[in-house]
Amino acid sequence: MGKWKLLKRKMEKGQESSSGSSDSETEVPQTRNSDDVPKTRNRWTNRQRLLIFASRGITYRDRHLMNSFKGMLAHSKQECKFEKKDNLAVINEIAEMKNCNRVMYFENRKKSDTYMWLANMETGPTLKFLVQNVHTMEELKFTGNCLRGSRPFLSFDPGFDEHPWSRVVKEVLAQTFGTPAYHPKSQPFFDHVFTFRILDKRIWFRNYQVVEEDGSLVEIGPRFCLNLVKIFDGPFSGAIIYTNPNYVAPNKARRLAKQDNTYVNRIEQKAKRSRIESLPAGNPEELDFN
Amino acid sequence: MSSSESCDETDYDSDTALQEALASGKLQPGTYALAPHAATQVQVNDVEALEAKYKQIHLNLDWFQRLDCTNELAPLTADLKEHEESLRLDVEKKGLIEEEDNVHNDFKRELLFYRQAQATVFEALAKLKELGIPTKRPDDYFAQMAKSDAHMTKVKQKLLVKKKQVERTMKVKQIREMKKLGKTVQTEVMLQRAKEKRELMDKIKKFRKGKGTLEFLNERPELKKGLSRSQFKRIGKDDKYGFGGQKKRGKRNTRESYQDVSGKKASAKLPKAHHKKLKAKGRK
Repeated sequence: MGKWKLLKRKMEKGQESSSGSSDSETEVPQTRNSDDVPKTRNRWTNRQRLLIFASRGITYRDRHLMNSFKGMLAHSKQECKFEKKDNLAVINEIAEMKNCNRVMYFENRKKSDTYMWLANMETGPTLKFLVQNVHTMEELKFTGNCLRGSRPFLSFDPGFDEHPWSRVVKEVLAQTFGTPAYHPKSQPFFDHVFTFRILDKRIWFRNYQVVEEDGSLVEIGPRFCLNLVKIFDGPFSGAIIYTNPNYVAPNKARRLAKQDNTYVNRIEQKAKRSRIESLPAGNPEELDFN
Repeated sequence: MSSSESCDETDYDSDTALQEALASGKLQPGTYALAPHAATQVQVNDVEALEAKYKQIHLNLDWFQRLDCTNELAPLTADLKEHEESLRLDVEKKGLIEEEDNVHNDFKRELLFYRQAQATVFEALAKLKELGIPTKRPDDYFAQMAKSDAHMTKVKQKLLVKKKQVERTMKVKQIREMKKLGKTVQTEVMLQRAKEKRELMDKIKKFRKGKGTLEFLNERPELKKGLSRSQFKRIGKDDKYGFGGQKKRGKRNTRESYQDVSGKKASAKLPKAHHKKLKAKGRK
């Protein structure tokens, strides 16, 4: 018997025994054509990459806010602080170098006012928000916790579908804060919700942990309020396509607060008083407390 | 937008406008009041551009890729409903508008967000179950968390301190109730004493008439050996104002005060009365 025949017989024997022992396991072919493209499970298709960075002169509170997002958003990358004097259009180049198509940029002015820029790098738009009422994740009143990099549910209120500008804002928020499915750094479980709600003409952000699946939630933080300033057409460039009529610049707000408005206050007080008095006087016997 | 200044309209500087006007001769020195005011910022709402932009950027992906939900509020639970009802009545009494109150009342505002998030969780989890995707993390799956363990122990400590505080206030309330009760007890004691005195006087009267003996005088119960009035006062004052010890540096942070999460002020560190002798005597 030739050498090859013996080998062949051996191999046949081995195959029989192995197939007999493990029927459930899929068999890997012993040879593969070198022209075949290796089959990989490429499920990570929505490749969003978010660049998170800040301007120089950012306050500690905003830095903490930024860092908590760096931790929670698995699809984020970081950059060193940006020199404010530089042209904003430079950000486009930075993002390109970092291979990012979304940008979250925290800009600080006068060490007190923080602006958050959210931009879509290929096509625009760029949204500019004033960030108010920041509570960072480190505060002890937030007792929840979540996996680092688990994908958040995004919750929007129906108010976002009412206007053209709010639809754009919603889409940009969803793309920026939503971690893409099967992102390598993300976790496969769902344990927190990002909540966006339009209230008092601004957008409120909350982050809750899903403790039990019956709907009990615990807040993780951070908390903040986004006041939309304007929407630009392009990525850190282009025409202004929306300005928020309800936005008051912080400089102006401070100036108004300084003004002596005792007279206005008195008038308002009177109006309020008269409104209360005009209400029908409640008869305690008629009031139904059930 | 060629430079960063063009997106800086919020801090519009009217000085430059004045300088330009001066340079072009429109404005003479001394005619400041006649200079045209800088036009207030023009409001833009380019609906067509916004719609086009939305269409351009909208990612038409499966829901699982996006995980976004648009929800009304979830229904209230029974106990929250009760609480909300009482708040609503408060609002009506004050003559405020419900809408405004939703913004400025912390509890009501947070409740809105909470309920919205709840609604989303219900919807999203149901959808994921339909897709057959596991949602819950197994107990033996460990991974890095958003907040560190050190931080979470701090949070737990804080919760514990809060719980203790609540317990203490409950205790103080109870003591207050007891004190109220104590007053009635005190009046009873006074009455009892008056009665005893009356009985004593009766006995003395009887003795004077030559009927009884003076035996009862020896039955008198022994009085407690207490503190003198001044000593009592001393203890009270020491408790109130502190006694001895170093007063300076009392408000400075120490490692203990830094790690203390109870939120109490440093004034609690002031030396307390330590008249142990007096106190021990008082307790006898």
